[in-house]
Amino acid sequence: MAEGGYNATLCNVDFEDSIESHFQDTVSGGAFVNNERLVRVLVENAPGRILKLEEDGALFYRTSDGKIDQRAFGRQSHKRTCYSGDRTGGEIMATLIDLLRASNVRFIKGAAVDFLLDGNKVTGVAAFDPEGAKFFLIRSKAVILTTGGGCRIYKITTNSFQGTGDGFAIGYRAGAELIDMEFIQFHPTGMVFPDSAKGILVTEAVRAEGGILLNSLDERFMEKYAPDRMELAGRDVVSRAIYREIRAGRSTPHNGVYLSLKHLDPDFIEQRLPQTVEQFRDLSGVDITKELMEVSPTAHHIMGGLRISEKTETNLKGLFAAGEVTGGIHGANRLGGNALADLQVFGYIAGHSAAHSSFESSLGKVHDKQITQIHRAIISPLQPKQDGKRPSQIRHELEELMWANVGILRTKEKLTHALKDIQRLKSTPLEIGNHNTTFAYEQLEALQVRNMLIVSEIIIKAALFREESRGAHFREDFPETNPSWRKNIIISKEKIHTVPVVVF
Amino acid sequence: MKETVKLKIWRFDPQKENHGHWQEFEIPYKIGMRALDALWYIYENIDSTLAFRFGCRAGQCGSCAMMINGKPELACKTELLPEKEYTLEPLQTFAITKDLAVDFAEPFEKMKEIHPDFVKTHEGVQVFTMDEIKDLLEYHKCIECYNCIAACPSVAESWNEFVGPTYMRKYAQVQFDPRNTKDVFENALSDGLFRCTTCKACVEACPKDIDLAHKAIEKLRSIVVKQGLGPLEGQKEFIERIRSYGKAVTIEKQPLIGKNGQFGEYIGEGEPVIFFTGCMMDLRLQKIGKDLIDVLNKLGYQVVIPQDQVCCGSPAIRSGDFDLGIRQLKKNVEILERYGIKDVIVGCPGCGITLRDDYTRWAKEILKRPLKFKTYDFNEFIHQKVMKLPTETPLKLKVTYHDPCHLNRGQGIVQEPRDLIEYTGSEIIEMKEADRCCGAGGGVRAGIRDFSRLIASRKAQWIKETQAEAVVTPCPFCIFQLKELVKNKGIDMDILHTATLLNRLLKRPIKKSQIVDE
Ligand SMILES: Cc1cc2nc3c(=O)[nH]c(=O)nc-3n(C[C@H](O)[C@H](O)[C@H](O)COP(=O)(O)OP(=O)(O)OC[C@H]3O[C@@H](n4cnc5c(N)ncnc54)[C@H](O)[C@@H]3O)c2cc1C
Ligand code: SF4
Ligand code: SF4
Ligand code: SF4
Ligand code: FES
Repeated sequence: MAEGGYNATLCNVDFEDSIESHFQDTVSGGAFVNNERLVRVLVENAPGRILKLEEDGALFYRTSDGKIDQRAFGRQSHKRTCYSGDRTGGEIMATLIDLLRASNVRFIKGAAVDFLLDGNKVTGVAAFDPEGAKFFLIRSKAVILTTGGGCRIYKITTNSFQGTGDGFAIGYRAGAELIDMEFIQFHPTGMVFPDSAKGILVTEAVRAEGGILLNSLDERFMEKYAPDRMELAGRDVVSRAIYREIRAGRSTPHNGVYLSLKHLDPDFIEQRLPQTVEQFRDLSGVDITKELMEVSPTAHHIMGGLRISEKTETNLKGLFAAGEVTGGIHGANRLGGNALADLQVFGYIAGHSAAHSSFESSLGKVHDKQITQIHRAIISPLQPKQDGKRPSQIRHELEELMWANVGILRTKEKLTHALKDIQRLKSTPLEIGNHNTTFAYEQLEALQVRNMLIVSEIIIKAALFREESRGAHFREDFPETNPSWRKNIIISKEKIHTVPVVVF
Repeated sequence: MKETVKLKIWRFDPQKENHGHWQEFEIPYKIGMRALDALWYIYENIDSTLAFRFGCRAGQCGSCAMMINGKPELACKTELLPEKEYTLEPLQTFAITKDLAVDFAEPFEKMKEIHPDFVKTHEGVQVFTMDEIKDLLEYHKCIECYNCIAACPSVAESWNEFVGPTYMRKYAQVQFDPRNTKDVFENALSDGLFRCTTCKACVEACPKDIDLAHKAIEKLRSIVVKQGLGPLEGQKEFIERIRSYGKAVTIEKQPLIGKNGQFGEYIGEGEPVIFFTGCMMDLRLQKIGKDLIDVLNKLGYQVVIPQDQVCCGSPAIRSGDFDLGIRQLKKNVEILERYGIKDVIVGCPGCGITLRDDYTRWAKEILKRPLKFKTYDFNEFIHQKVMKLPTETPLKLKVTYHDPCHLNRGQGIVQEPRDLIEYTGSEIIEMKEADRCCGAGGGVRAGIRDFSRLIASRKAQWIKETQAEAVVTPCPFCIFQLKELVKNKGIDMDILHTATLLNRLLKRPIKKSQIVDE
């Protein structure tokens, strides 16, 4: 759950900040392949959305003169990250859920499996509710896809169990275009110990509040890699720095580097980072006001996703998308605090666009043949198979191979190898042991694994295609950024191609 | 062999069977392992039909709430230790979907039903200091895991009449948000605001450490009282008494202290300590008060009893009359500080929590200074000294111990009284859920007697099962409640304060030389 903050040019703390500066930071942070029109929409609307959230009941931390406080996050020229302790995402979510509760919006429990299609128009959603093993359809005039990220394909990740990337795969199967899928953000600081906490995010707020990185020789190694911005350099830069320190053998007992707050006042730490204090105390028995944290990079965010317009339209009629499942806004590397702004800004627009489009259209057709196909995919793992494997087995193999071959430092060799492995996993039949109809979780897991394999394949293909290094995508065989690669890779079921960057 | 962890898991498929059953698992231990990891291990390697919920694995989403060793916990935060056994059950109070998964639709809907619309005072962002929103942010921290609902003894008896802690938190969140113009205290009132015993089981269960009992319930009660809609009829009597003559209960037999009391101001020789008797020991349970004084004397303390002390104000504070509480605080502070003695001893956990928490907080807010004395519960105060004494002829009683809420969760005193009982050479037979509320607190006994009895009635069976000779519980309120309970249920058992037990053992005064000092 998002912790650290929300970027908006409120100029409450830093009067020098401007919309223009937020734009520049986002685009240069994204290594100049962001869709600049989307970035405009983002930076211009981010302040308005956060003010609206406060009107609706959210509370953000305050400055001494009573305004919404703002702190510095990585790679930003000004203090513009608003926050609510280190549970900013939770604060936003709770506010939105209360708004929904007060509305007449209906909640339907279940996982989307595929879009219902009539030609290139999305006419509804086929869904599966594991609790009763129920397959059901929802017909609708418009659909908004907001399934979030998919970093669960990596062994070490900050994402929750739900981060299986369903939306990328569902969109892909339906013929949606995906953009920038090679750009995966590895957050520099994830927990390394104990095993059960591996990958859990250590919020950037720790460094924003003054945390410093040290290797096992007690060297503040960021001096070597980013002497200007130090610990608050871009996430790509800091992640690679940590990775290299570890690879060079200057790592901590649990194979990470140290993150230290020891130079700060314990009361200040408790007040500013309560959730992080609690997290380390409860999960690894470390008192961060006195002891060093051990951290290493962890798969965090998929910059790419469904290609959208400023109105959040996709290339499929009736389908709108917002949030992490979309691509183009963050370019090759997302700035900390920009995702929350993205969700609020584009989520709001998506609601409006979808509502408008549904006023103008009628319910579309549903095709029996497609429904039969979808249903078959859902029940197929229930049938016994030769050489069948459990979804969790395949998932583990996938997580390992993605971490080893499609991680922070990539090569053609590793990527090709990974692609082969994915093909093998894709052709392995899924078979499950749980035939229950009361809590058919494993059946859901089978659907998720199918999606994870597709997402991984798309990522690898895009990563192979981009023969240069840019932002979060680093090719050891092409370590330089190549100006002629200032373009975006678009992948759909039919083809993979490049398009020029949309500039403002 | 490698280290293992043993788990006993409740399995139940309501679609297929009428009764659930326990299933045991033994799985390899891994350092730092959480209960959720164990469940995943079982799911992946032993039985994929095991049902449980999960989400963030980081204590932030609330999905993995379940009963672990009888208490509501988050599975992703509960560390397992090697060679230990754990029981895992679905969160109590809720409908079971399957195994460890309960149906969260109902509580979610309930939040929707009680959701009071937020009526804005004005557009845009309001200017606040961090201090002004500190409490509000605490309400916001809730992750809706519903652990507190599962923990609440009042909800367990009647969820229809008492909506429960996290919903009261929600009411408080709206009521105390200065940006909101709409009042919701009346909704809170009709949703059972006065049915909370302030037992703090919810606070203990809350993974976000939200002080639901005080910051939600008592604060909402204080608004209701200010508006003249509370307290309850039965509670008005004791509040009236405190207002008119400073004590919460009527004078029926010779008091322990005061003009016509049994004891004067200074009793015995030795190091002086102040005894804050509270109303119950002064006017109802004088014998226990006397035991307590004796024990202190025998341990070499001079007991100083301010004759003019008044009720601590706890009954008023718990039922929302903060103004009266503050009046009592001011009087008592003046009285207690006049001796220049640092240690104040209480034998009533109700007084204990009030002097410790409420007085300390208000001293800071209202008197703008720290208190000049420190309050100790009797058990805690004498514990170390007693444990160093040579053993006496053992009493050889078989007893069971009931944890008073305001001692256990209120002041964190759990082991000390048990040690004292064992020191007397008595055996403790632990009852089931020893720390479950007896229903007497929070003004519930005075306000809604039947309901209070209903909460208590669960304990009868467990007390009986122990076949002990007596129940020991160092709280006058619990003693009253449990005495009535065993009488009504025809159980032949004494209810004793630790002071009484100790006084029986420590027959003669103990010479100074017998006490081994550090
Ligand atoms: C630990 C962590 C910390 C972060 N901190 C920050 C931060 O401080 N600032 C910032 O700007 N960004 C932060 N981010 C990034 C940001 O939180 C995410 O990008 C953002 O939450 C994505 O929001 P979303 O609404 O697109 O998707 P999500 O919030 O991921 O929500 C997706 C929802 O869709 C559901 N779903 C998925 N698949 C299906 C399906 N098939 N059917 C039905 N439902 C489905 C999921 O269960 C989930 O509820 C953080 C991310 C993580 C993981
Ligand atoms: S204090 Fe006890 S009775 Fe009151 S809400 Fe909490 S758990 Fe329930
Ligand atoms: S108040 Fe605490 S225990 Fe209750 S639902 Fe909220 S987080 Fe859970
Ligand atoms: S808490 Fe103590 S002083 Fe207050 S009413 Fe009870 S017995 Fe009397
Ligand atoms: S899995 Fe989210 S709180 Fe435990």
